[in-house]
Amino acid sequence: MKCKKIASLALSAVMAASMLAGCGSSGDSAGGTTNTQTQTESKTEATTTTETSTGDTAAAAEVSHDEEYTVDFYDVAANFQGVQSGWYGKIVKDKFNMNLNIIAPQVSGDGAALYQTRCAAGALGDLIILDNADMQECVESGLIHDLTDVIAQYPNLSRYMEQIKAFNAMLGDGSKIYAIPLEMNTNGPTAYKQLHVYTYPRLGWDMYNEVGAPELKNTDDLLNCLAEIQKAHPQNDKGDPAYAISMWKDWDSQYMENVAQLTKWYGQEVNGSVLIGTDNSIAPLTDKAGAYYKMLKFFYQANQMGLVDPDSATQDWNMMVSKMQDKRVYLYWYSWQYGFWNTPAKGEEGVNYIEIPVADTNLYQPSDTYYGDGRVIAVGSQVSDENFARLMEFLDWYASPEGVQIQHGGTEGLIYTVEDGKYVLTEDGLNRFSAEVAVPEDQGGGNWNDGNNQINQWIVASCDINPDTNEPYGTDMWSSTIKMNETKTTKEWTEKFGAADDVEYLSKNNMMTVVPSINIALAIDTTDISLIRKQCGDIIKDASWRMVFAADDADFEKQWDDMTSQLEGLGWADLVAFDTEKYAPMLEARKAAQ
Amino acid sequence: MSKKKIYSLKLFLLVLPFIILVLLFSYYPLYGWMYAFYDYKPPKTLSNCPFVGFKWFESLVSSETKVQQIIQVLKNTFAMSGLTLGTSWLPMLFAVFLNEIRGVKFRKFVQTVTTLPNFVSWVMVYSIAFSLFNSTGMLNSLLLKSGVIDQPILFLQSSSHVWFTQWLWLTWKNLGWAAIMYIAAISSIDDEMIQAARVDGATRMQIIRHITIPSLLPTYFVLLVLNVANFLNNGMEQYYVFQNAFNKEYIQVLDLYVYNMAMGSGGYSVSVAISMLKSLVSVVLLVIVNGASKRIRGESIL
Repeated sequence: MKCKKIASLALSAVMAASMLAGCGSSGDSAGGTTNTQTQTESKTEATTTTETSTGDTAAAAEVSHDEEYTVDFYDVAANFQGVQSGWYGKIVKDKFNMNLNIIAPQVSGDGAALYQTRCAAGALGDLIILDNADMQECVESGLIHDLTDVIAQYPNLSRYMEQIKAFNAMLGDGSKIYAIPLEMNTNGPTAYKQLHVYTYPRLGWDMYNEVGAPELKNTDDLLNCLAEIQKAHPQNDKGDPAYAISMWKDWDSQYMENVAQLTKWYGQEVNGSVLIGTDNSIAPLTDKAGAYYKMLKFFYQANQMGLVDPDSATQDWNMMVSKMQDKRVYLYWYSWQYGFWNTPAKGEEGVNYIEIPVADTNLYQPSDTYYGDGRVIAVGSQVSDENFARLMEFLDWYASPEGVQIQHGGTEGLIYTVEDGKYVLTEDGLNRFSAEVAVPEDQGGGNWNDGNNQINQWIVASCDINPDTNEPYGTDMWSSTIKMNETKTTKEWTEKFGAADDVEYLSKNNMMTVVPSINIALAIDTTDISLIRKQCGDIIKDASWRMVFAADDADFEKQWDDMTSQLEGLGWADLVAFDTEKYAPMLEARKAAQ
Repeated sequence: MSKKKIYSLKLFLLVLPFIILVLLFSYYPLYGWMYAFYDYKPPKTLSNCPFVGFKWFESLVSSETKVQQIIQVLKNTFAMSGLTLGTSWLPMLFAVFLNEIRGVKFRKFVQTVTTLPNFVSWVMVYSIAFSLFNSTGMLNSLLLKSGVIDQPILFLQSSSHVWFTQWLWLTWKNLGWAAIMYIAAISSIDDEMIQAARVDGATRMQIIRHITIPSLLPTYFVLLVLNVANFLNNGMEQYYVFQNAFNKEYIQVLDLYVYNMAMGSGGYSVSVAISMLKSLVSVVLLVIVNGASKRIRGESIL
């Protein structure tokens, strides 16, 4: 009896203690908030003084680089985690005495968890790259530094003020500036200047011709063509097994990313739980007449025909890269995948990869991202004034012609040379993505690719015009490169298809629709919706991968039906309704721009 | 102050550090249960989130699919814990037989080799599994090169025998470690008993059956009771590293389910709600087993 009494006494004491502890820490956090506020206030004061001291010129204050500064860079775009090294790291180090310590949710495995734990800790990073919606939340939670008063002092960032203001108008009460959109340009909101469409079936030109250059009417023809190619080349030259299609799972979000990229071939883009069409229609992802089902079936059929790499469900992107470089994958879809194989020399041999038209496609092609690509960069609210100035200085450089040129064109001498005021790629420059290019020791050493900018996102898009040359920054859009890239491959392609390039061919034949690119902040998920989204997303992802590897048609159909009925039970209808409403403003803006 | 009081104060001070540790690591975290009653969404602070009462508890059973999902998760949990519990005599038997090995060097060797996997983390275990069993792994290469199969077998993507294979991995990792406790218990068995049995002409098997195992049973039962209380806590690391789209239906145990729900979706509140229920069930299980043990064997640990 006595024991029980003591025990109950002890328990109640513990309860009381834990309650007290609870109060204590909530009091603490309140104190924390006040602290931050005072800090921000004092910061504003500081900036004001700088402004008055420098007068009306409003130039940014001189910043000392004496102290080495390791920047925690939370970056949702990065495929690399750790301190930026190599030639790019050296440039940043020499210029700013900064080390970029990149924190990459994509690499860490469970990105969302990393995001939430870092948010809860109150410091996401010194520099932060996030998707629009996450940035909205972080601004509301006070994790983001206010740039309103200082941004005008930075001339290079100011060139994009229209776009920056357009985006920030949707944050908070719209009067402040917190974040800078990424991949902006100054070419106008409906321009499409890229040389190639973003996603489309792409095959090796030699292989396509080897199997008789068949006319492809639909995806079945494409699969048959791939089957022929794989039959002729079951292995690469080194004897490693090669497959028509190889996939990777580490980019999956709430659906299977590989499938989602291919839905665009048939006029629909996956956005959350809905498919948005080139005709501004909106349909649930689970629409059986929709492109997600169609392309999932495409992968399934490919697997039935033995065309899918069995590693697909377990390998990651890096493994995929090495497979592409070894020519163990015969179908590409992203335009930038060319970089892993194509070179002018290979083009002259006729072995470059190139778009192969499939007659029934209606490509969903967003225009160049004038307003930004849906991701933004910002400074964390916890950084000190001194570091804030250094970070802003870095960002301004990152948006300057010099910074953008280094980003998109590498360094002069090694990657390109200047001839008659125009840039020309060197041999190393041409091969920098597809081969191991050694960087001289005094420029940082190592392999060029390993030392490349691991931030993997830039403020200014490569299609923007470089004032020094009046040509776009992107090396593939330099007039010298375009000329160099006119190879046997492209000439034969032009001859066969009667168009200069794929953009021309597809638009001439009504096989693509350019959709105006809109970058506006959209409604944020409530906790209920985000829970439904996560649970449904897991079901969709898992079911999609299982369906690709389904045993037969009946199994495929059964898995799809199981998936849809499970989704219904988890509140799919609510999610679709939410997303339909969420994307309505975007579709309105798009209609207005068309 | 009387001498007695000073003495008890001294004793109290001796246990104080441990009381503090228990409070800190076992009771203080209970404060986190608060999150189950709020509509918590990072990066907001809890004080900025609305109080929602039992909403998340209700949402667990709000639709048939969710109920089915939870039932499946519980099935997995019970199956895997059940397998472990049902074979919890293995380490004991292993210890007994290990003890019978005459060659000291060989015995030590076996013991070391079986204990070592316990110190390998699950991530490493998975990478071992991956390099052995992936489509270009050792086993597939071996089978392909010897012409037994012409297409690689995707072992890790298999959805069959998930419970059994997971149990195998767990046993491989834990067997030697779990046997240590029994080896210690064996060494404390009174030698006189064994000598006496020998004099009476008992064979080795008879000694094991009538002396060694009965002397180990108390230890076994204590561990069993503790294991039952941990029935729902089969941890998540192992299942987390082995999970993929193909085996998830059978591998998702309660702990992993809680993790998968919380991380990534921001479903912290609902996850806390589940783990609260889990703790309650664990306490109930402990009390039941303890009661049963008291009745059946007249001994209890509480």
